Parts: sequence; C-alpha cells; structure tokens
Amino acid sequence: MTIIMKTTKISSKNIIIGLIAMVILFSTKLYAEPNEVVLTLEVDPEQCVSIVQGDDCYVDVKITWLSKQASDYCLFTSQQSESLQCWNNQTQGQLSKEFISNENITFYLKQLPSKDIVAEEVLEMAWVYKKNGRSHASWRMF
Amino acid sequence: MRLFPKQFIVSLLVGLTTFNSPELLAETTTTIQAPNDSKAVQLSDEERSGGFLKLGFGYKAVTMPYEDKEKGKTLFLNARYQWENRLFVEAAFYRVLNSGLNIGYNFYNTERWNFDLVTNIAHGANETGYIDQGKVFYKKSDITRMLALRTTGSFDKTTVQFVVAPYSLNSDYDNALYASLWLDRSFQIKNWELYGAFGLEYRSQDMLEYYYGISEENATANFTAYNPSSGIDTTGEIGASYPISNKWLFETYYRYTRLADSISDSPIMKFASNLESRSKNMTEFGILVSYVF
Repeated sequence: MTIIMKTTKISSKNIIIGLIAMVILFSTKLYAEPNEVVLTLEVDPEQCVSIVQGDDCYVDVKITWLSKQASDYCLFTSQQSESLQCWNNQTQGQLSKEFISNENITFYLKQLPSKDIVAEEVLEMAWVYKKNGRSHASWRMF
Repeated sequence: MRLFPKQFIVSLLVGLTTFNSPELLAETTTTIQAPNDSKAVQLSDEERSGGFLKLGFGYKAVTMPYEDKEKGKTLFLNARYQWENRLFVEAAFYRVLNSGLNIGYNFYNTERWNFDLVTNIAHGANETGYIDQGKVFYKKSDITRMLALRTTGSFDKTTVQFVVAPYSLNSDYDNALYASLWLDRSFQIKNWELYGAFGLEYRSQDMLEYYYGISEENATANFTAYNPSSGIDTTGEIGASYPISNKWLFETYYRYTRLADSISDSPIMKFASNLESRSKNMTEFGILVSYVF
C-alpha cells in the first residue's frame, strides 16, 4: 500500500515537469517565428522635450537591438525612406545619432531580404508650452 | 523712499524668432519638418478660455535708485486665467511683459492680434523724507493705476505689444498719460530658447511732475526746485530657458532699464542714486527653476 502511494506521487511530479517543459518548448517555438526573431529594440531616451509645441526638438539617441537569430537587418525611421544603417549576419547592433524633429519618430528594424518589420519603437516628442492664439512670450495658456 | 515697485515695468512684450541654423547640425544629423503650423488660426471664446500657471524658485538680484539693493532666494510667479466671457486676470512678477497683478477684458481678437482693456500700474508709490540743513524735505506720491488699451501681436517667435493708458485712477493729479511699446523675439539653439526684449515707456509731464517735481516752496538746499518734462524709459532684457522635462524649466534673465533723463535729473533721484546700495538706473538678474502646471 505504501509503495503504491509513492508511485502515484512520482507520477504527479512527472506531469508537472512535463507541463513546464511543454510551456518552454511552446515559448521557444513562438520566438522562432520569422517576425519575432528580434527580442529587443531599445531607444534611449524615449522622449525629447522642447520648450514650445511644434518647435524642433534636438536629441542624441542611442538605438540598440538584440536578436536570437543571426541575419541581415536594417534600421529605418519614419523620417526617411532610406535605411539609417544595416548589419550583415548579426545578432545585435547599436547606433548613436542626433535627431531633430517636431513629431514622433518611429524606428523600425527590418529583416532582409524579406524586409519584414521584426521590431519597432517610438521616440515621443513632448513640450512645455502648448501652441495657441497668444504668444508664449506673453502668456502660455493651458 | 519707494518708487517703482516690482510691478513698475508695466506690461508688454516681445518676442522673437527661432534660429534654425542648418550649420548647427552635425553631419550625422537627420531632420524632419512637420507641416508648417505657424499660420495663425482664429479661436473661439471657449478655445481662448483657460489658464496658465508657472511657479518658480531661485535667486534674484535687483539694483535701483528707489530701494536698497535686493538679492537672495525668492519665488517667481507667472499666472493668467481667461473666462469664456473674455474677462481675465494676470499676475506676473518676472520677465518684462505683463508685470504685476492686473485684470482685464479681451474685447477683440484677430488671427494675429489680441485687443484688451486692462488695468495697468503706470508708476509705483513714492515717499521721500530728509532733513536738509535744518529744513525738512518731504514728498509723498501714491501709486498710479490706470485703465489701458493693450494690443498684442503674435508672429511666430516675435511678439509686439502696444499699451496706451489715458485714464488714471489716481485723483491727485490730472493729465496722466502712459504709453509703451515692447518687442520680444526668441531664438532656438538646440533645445534652448533664448530671447531678447526691448521696450519703451512714455510718461506724461504731469505724471512725472507728480513724482519727481519740486515746487519752489518745498525746495531745500539740496532738493532744489525742479519741473520735469515728459520722459521715456528704455528697457532691454535677455534671457534663456531650457526644458528639464515637459513640466520643469531652467530659466535665467538679465534686465536693464535706463530711466528717462527727466527722471534721473530730478534732485530726488540724484540724491537717491548716490546712496549706498543704490544705482542711477535699474538692473535685475534672476536664475530659477520653474514648474509649469
């Protein structure tokens, strides 16, 4: 009787281990999908602040990406159709560059040759004073 | 002796332009221009209603002939609220435009110009007392509050403001007239905003006579009889702001006001400006951190 009970206990443990293994395998399968090969795309800082809404905002941005799968990648922005930089057969990359904009900038990492977007991140524009009918030099209304 | 309180520099402003110099950009710089939104738009009363509140804390140093040099830590306030019925209240205690606490009515607007009927402090109160070689010299003048017509033009980074105040609430004298012209222009260098402001303030002869004139019967050895003409003060201000975040600003400014000759030539002012810790003209320097609500 005692032996039977022990056998039952071991079986439950195996089930739990099996479930965990399935979850891990399932997760791995997800990351292996073509559009999710890039694990991270980071933009630092995430926000650029100007004095007045609509003014150009100047920001030095550091863009870092990391992938589990070595491949050819190119970094694009919403500012221009040409790529900012491309990497061949790499699993990670980094770019530091100054940007000037008065609207949000979206960064896209595309995998070649398909040019599928595998990751994207947004650099937000912020401001202290809203633009309105009165000059902010006299009064800045909210 | 107390003339020209902080509210002294009556309204107005200036403004100015951004400085988008391509040569400032590094080789790796990328730029994008959003659609030109500098075109003014006509706003409804509801859209014009609302408020602004900015509180600052920092250091200020002021020299002038009216009071001993003042320097040290201080609070800075800039606030305005306008209701949908176009009434508004303003309170500002730094930067030349819209100085002091005023109420008004925004009676007409165009795309570029705001027309307001507003209260205005054309001159602060003044009291001078001195025993001059055994004879007492004493002169006291109250504050001159006026009703003014103010128009402010906003052109992108440039602001122009005209003020004409023909009606005085001070019944001690007649024929008070105050007028001013201000120009303010800001420039952008990276994320810094720099600005320069220039202003002229006219005060009528009767107004200056009330504050700086000395009659024959009140004259003493050093405070001789004096009848000033009308005069124009000239003010220049430069400043800079940097956005620490979308709520916090670093700000600094320096202002210089050259008083009209008809004011500086008054025996009262000659006496005052020679006192220790005072000066012939007026300067103000401030450095602060502000929170914009």
